[in-house]
Amino acid sequence: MSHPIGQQTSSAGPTQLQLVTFEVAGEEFAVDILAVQEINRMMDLTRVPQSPPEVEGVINLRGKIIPVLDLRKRFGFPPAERGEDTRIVVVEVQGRVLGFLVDKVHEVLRISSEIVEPAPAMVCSINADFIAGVGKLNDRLLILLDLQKLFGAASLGAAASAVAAAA
Amino acid sequence: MASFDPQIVQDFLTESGELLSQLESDLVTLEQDPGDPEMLNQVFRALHTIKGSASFLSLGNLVKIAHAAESALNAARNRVVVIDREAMDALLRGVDLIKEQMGQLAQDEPLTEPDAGLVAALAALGEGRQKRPVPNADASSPTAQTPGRPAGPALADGDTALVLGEGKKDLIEYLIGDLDESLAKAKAQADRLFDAADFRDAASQLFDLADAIARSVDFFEVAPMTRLCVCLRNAAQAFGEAPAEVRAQLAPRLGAILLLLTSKTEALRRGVICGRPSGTLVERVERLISGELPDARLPAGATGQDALALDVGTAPMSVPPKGAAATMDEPDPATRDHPAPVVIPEPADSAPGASPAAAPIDARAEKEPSKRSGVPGGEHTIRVEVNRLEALMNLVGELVLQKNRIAAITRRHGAAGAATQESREQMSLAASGLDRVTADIQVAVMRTRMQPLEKLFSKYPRLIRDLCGKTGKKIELVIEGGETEVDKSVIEELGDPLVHLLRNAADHGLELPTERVSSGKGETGTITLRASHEGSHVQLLIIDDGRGLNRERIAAKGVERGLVRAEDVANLPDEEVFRFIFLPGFSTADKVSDLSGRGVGMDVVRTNIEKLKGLISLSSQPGKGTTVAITIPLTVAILPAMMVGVGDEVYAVPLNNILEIVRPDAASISSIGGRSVMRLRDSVLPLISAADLFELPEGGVQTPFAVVLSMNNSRVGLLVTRLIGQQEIVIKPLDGVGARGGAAGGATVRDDGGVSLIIDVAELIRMAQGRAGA
Repeated sequence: MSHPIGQQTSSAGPTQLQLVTFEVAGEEFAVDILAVQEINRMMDLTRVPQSPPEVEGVINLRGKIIPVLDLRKRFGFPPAERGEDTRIVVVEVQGRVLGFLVDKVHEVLRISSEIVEPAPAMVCSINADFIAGVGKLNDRLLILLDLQKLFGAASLGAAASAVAAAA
Repeated sequence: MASFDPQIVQDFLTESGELLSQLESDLVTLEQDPGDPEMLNQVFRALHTIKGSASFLSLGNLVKIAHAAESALNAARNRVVVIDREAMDALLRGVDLIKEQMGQLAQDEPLTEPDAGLVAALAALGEGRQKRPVPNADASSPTAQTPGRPAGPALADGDTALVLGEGKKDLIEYLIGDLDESLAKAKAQADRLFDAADFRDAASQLFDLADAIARSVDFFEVAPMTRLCVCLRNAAQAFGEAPAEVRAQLAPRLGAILLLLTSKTEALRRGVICGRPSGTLVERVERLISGELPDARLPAGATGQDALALDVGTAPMSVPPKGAAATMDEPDPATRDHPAPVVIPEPADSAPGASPAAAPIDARAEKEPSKRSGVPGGEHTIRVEVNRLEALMNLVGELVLQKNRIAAITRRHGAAGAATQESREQMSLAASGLDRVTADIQVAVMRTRMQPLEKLFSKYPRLIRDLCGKTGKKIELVIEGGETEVDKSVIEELGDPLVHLLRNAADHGLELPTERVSSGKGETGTITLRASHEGSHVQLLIIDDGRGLNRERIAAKGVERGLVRAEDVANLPDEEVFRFIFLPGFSTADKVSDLSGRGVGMDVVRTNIEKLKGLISLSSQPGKGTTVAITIPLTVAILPAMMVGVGDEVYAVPLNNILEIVRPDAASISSIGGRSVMRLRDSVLPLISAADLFELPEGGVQTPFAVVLSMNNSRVGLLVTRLIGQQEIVIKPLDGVGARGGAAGGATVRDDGGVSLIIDVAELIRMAQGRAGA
């Protein structure tokens, strides 16, 4: 689902990508629509003590308790007030359901994989590991996220153990 | 392995699994009284059913071991052998192997070939070979005949009374039922022998059925019947490859054998051994098997009845048949041949020809069709996949949450005064109705998951038996309250702790027989395992009458490990000293034995019990014994909780752990070594502020209430802002959040839809003690 999109162009010829785009700290990001379960309005988060710093808390998603992460913290952006447009994007990564906070959700977009390029070393301020590719769209620059690297068990586990080590 | 419907395999696993665990405990009971005919029969029946089902599934290796064990038991039932310790060891090893094989079956792996030595040992028992002479076998009685050998001289002409040993009487019915079933199936196959397209398959089926029949017939020790069975089996084996003309002669004769066996079985049912001779028939069939056409031929299209008339005669059963058979041979209009002069029916029955010793069957009875006797009546119970119950349980959990929300909305609505008096009343009526129904559903669904503790307990007699062997102690295990029901998940979690505790009791608690005698006790130590309902909890007691815990030694070890200061030891109550045992790595054993002493066991026990939200405590009297008491809730999925507010946040505290809630005044709170404590009546209670615990911003959060929590006799006070009320909560795991440890032991959904963390009391107490230690 969230395979590196850049590789697809090289191996399998152009395909259509369907993406959900959203905004965090003024930059536009996109994830594969197949990974997205739903998008919710902001709701009350319950803090969980001794969780990794980017875990903002947990919510009740129709009886299931899922963690919600703050993308700003994950990317190392400065925190911001949550506003009217703040959304929780619920995704499934490696069988785990989790939500992440974005400043604003834009649209569902169909683009050709041809216009997606592998991430340059420094495209923006975020860790290049999280980036599956960059899409050039007229005057816009879309950053396609690699959800597995971003939220996969390994990355969160590392964050958690870092916290444990610090404590 | 043949591919069977996975459902059938699953049914086999479930059913045979139940039978096996019953079998295991029955075997141990049997060992106490090896001659108990009731128990012998029960064990035999269980094994027989397992074997039957296994052969239906073509599980050759399982059948092999089951068959060997079964024949050993059969010999015991016939009083040919006595189940001594050695024999029981072999039987139990057999049961272990079957369990292992069933595990492999569940994993879809090939089954282990049974250990040849074990099979041989069991088979030897089955053939009546035992090292020691059998003390109570009555050599002169016909029932003492080894089933593997022909039963001595031939029966007299005509019918005789069936004489069977005491131990067999109540099984007659059962085996005759078996015989009827197999015979009916065999007849159906025999009819297919005439079918040119089908005969090979029919013959092979018949071959298997002949085995089954032989096994049942074996029981009655009627040599002519056994001989008929052997003959039937050999004929069925040869049938497939026999030339057509031989087959034409053989097929009706096999029908005749079955008819004869049926009438003889009928006689057995009446307690009579039918004296109707079968020698001629057997002999002619044997000749046919060797490819020789008999002198007395049957016409084409002859039936089993015709063959019976030709070879046996239709003489009524009670007529002494000497000569009758010969005369009956002649009037058959269809054949011009003379009866062979060698036809002397009676002696033929006991002729040494085809040795009935072949009767204790080899293990080829693999395709024995649908021998599924012992399937429970099926009228009042159905088997349901655990997953479905689990899904139902989850849904009920959701229902409880939604109900709670409705209740909350109703309350708010009423308070806001937004509705008319009438609609308010209707709403609250509906809400309380919903409340009641939900509660009933919850109980009903929980009941479907309840299982008697017996399921667990039935494994322990075997455990204790093995421990007796290893420790050289004499131990009696008394089990009480096995019918007490608890949730399935509780049973699963309880297994390991109980094994640990029983091992401890056997290994450390009880003394060796000599030591017991010298301290004025009986040689045999007793371990009592007692279960009972205590409200919404179950109490389990493991009581031994051994030497008791050594307080001095535990205290010394505690001092050594820095758990307590030497000067304080004297003032510690026994209970607190004994609690050290539950600490990780705490062991007073000087040497690590095969059974225990690594200091791991009790720690595991405590952790598992705490996982179940249960309590464990120890009491002991020197020289008198030790009692371990475990209290666990009936279910772990839903628990009553007190909702408390800390600042703006709401947390759930398991109600079971709340001793009381107090509102301490400033004067009673003090600080000792940097941690706060309060004086509660005449004791000192460590305090933990929930605001600190949950990393709330410092200052500004008032925590006037102290919730006094206890677990396993340790107490801690949790300071909170407000008390909200009691609620049934559904525990949801907090996985995927990445939080390790911490005082949150899960989460739940509140009646307003928000999420609250559940306070892990065990962790809280550990934290309080950790701080105390630091």
